[in-house]
Amino acid sequence: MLRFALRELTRRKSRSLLAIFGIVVCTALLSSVLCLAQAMRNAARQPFDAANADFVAQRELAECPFALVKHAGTLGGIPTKTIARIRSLKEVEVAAGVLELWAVSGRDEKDRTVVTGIEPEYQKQIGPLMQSGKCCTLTDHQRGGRYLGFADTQSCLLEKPYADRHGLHLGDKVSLGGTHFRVVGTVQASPGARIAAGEVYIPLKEAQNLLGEGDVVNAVFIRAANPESAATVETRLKELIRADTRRGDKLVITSDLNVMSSVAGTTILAESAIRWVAGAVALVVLLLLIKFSLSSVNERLREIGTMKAVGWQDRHIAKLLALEWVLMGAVGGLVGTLLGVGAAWAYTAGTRLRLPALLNNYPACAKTPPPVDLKFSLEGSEPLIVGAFLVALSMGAVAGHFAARRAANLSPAEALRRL
Amino acid sequence: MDIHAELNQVTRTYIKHGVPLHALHGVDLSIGRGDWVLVVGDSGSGKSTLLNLLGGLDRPTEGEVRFDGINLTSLTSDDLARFRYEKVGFVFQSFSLISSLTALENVTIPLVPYKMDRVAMEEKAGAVLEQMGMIDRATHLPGELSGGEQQRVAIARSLINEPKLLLADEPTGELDSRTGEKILDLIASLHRDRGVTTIMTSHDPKIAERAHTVVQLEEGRVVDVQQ
Ligand SMILES: Nc1ncnc2c1ncn2[C@@H]1O[C@H](COP(=O)(O)OP(=O)(O)O)[C@@H](O)[C@H]1O
Ligand SMILES: [Mg+2]
Repeated sequence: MLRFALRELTRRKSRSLLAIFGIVVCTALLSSVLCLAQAMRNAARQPFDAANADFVAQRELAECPFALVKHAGTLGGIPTKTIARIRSLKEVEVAAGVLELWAVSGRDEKDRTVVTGIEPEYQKQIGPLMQSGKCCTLTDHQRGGRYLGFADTQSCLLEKPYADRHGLHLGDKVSLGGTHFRVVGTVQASPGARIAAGEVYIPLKEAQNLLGEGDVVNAVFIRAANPESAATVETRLKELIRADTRRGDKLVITSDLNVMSSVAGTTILAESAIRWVAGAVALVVLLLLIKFSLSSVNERLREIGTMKAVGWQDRHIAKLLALEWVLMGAVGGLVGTLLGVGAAWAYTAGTRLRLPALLNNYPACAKTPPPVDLKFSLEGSEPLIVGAFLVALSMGAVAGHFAARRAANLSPAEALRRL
Repeated sequence: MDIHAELNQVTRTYIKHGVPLHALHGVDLSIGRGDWVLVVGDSGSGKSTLLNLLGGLDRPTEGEVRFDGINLTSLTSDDLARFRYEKVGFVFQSFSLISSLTALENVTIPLVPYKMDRVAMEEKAGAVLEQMGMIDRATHLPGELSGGEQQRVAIARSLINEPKLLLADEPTGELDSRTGEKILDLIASLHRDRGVTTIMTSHDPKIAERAHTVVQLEEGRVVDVQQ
């Protein structure tokens, strides 16, 4: 039977190819859209996964004047008492504030260092020093390098590229806005975007002293107690932060769900549009395939009549036709998913998306390349690929079902009369 | 007479544009085992309809068709298909070969859905093709064969399951007269050697002399039966 089906398909080459082409287009479209969406989701999740956080809450100011030490970028302060309130929410598992600064560190006022003040007691749970659930690696651990201690003063932790560029080692001093900090360790993170990653990390208290604005932070990392409570957390956050900050400031709460809209707003829009388009195309192609399969039965009336005359039962005929269409679905699905996944892969390989400036505030003149590139990956799209292939198979099966039903219902004598 | 197949008061009516058309009208006919029957009549007189009813390809509107005492009218369509598979060999005017399959594969078609081993199937088909003198053309596609050769392949296909009843609907209709003669000789020898009950139609009364019985149809009625 399989051999018969294959022969039939290869004989009516242009017919089969046309049907397969339709299935290929659908499946390619579907699988590329699904894989792209997955890659986008992965990219959006990556910096949050890295920081072990679900949300980052920030205030954005219209502009920041120049100073020896200033809030990084256009960030504004959030009082530390707000963090305490956030921590006390039952839906929140952990929250930590950071104060991102730009501090002039040399003679040239353009020589600014990105400094992140961190709460040492949280550095191993959440925030810029985290790397997929663990702390970044200490590169000078052997020589006594360490993370910031709770009681440390005038101490700092360096990022490896910064330390290398400035030739800084354990025990060396770094000048930040005129104050000196002793290097207690150097960390190295794996590539990929990181939120509020600085070049130099100092204890939050000292960062607040440097800035001189009192007890403020300018980014709060928050992890919800469980995924279901994430939505509630977000609304509660807005209420809390709004209550504790001046009116008129722009409050920004970023999560993996909305980060993409600020990075690539159009892509997200286009993605859902393309999804609809892919669905519509699939539907149209399916209808065409059904029409096509029915008309191909008409073309083969005589053949079908002959098979019935020599003893094939209706279900035998149905099986042959279904087999033909499922084969076409399988071939079309295979080629289509390969093309679709290939296209998605090529697109992500050639596209560079960066974290929004608010989440990683590097000065324009930064000399160390900031960790802002979102990492695309097709990880987790296996079920989508299988799904797209199954869609192709079922398109074939549906078209085949109609052809089979039509052929089975034919009266053999009738079929044989047609030439 | 040992009755092999019979039609009792068979009417087959088609509704055409709301008007009933009796392709067969009250036909009574008995065919003896091992008979060679020729059905003659003008085009449209109901010959094909008669053959289709006898072979279980079609059902009568009224009356009954019996084969070996079985009332075909009472069978389900699956049982009818099985009946055709086991008992009947059909040969058509237009050969009805499947153009994507080789001669040998065409001969195996009846066996394919009944799950026979492929080697066994092809051995069997090869044997019948051999008898039809077509074994050297086994791997040819129908398009590469002449009309007479295609008809031989079609006859081989009808014989593969050793039918009890051979139904040939104008088997020479698309062949030139010399080739047609040869095909008729072949059918005659099959009938003689195997004792298969053979029913053939033709609109050419000249063939009549070969048959035991000649049934004359006119507008769906049997007007004459000659032994
Ligand atoms: N499926 C059908 N639908 C309508 N009319 C039919 C059908 N089959 C046969 N007929 C009519 O029945 C009559 C007998 O047809 P047929 O048995 O094919 O005649 P013959 O084989 O002698 O030429 C013709 O008038 C034909 O038009
Ligand atoms: Mg006819």
